[in-house]
Amino acid sequence: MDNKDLKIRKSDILLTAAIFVFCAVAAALMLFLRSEGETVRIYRNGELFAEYALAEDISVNIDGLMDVIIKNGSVHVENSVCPSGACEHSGSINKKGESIICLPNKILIKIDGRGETDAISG
Amino acid sequence: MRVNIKRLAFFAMLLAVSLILSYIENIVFSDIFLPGIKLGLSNISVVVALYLFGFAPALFLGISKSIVSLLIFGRLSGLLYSLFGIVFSVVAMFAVKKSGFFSVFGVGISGSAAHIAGQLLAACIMLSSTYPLSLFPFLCTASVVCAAILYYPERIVLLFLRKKNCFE
Repeated sequence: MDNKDLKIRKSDILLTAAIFVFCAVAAALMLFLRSEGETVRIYRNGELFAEYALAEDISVNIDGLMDVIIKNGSVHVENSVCPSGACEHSGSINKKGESIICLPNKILIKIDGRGETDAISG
Repeated sequence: MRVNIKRLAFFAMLLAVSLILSYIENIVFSDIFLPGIKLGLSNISVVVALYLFGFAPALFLGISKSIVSLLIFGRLSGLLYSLFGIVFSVVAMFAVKKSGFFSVFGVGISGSAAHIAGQLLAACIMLSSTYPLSLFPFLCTASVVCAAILYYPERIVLLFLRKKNCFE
């Protein structure tokens, strides 16, 4: 029996190269997109409570007060306990600098640029 | 159904070897590299099974290997990742082998790429988020490099077994 199928062929090299190129392009594309990607910061009583990537799909419950939903690059609030529901009515935010504020519970949800921390007072 | 004793014994041996290899790998590689990046030594036995016995036995070997090794190492929570990985891997390797264009090198490479894709897909399902997919380019590159290294032992084992004419 010949062992041709055990020797590296040209097509193997091409396949490997194709996978590498695909990965490189995908990685470059993602790094490029991520430079625009932003961070969702949640502040409680003026202090940083939690931080998530906007690109993440996640649902966070803040001390039973509200659910912060990050989905498909935008943030909104559900199941808020406060009667006014202002935070829920803020709808969904997705751009840098936008925020959702819940005054009764002193919660601020803000979209920041990547890595940069804005000083928050009060 | 007639059971080929020789095949059965060899299959069991492959399973044993793959478990030993995962064990060695867990000792050697757990701290050296990033967590989650391993050489995948035990995949040698899956490739060998695919070449000697075909698709179904290779798949069965892969699934048994995942389940038993997770039981041994006590990480049963990782079962879904592991099964997704191995099933994707064996299906991809079978398809690439069947195409006839590629050698065991290309088969191994495609298997490892599919393995990572399957694991990340399982992670996406478990976390219900698409975030794990963003790791794909990096992990895929690493695993393709590992698979390229594994080509050599795979080739040696297959050459040896063919020379011995065990399963013709």
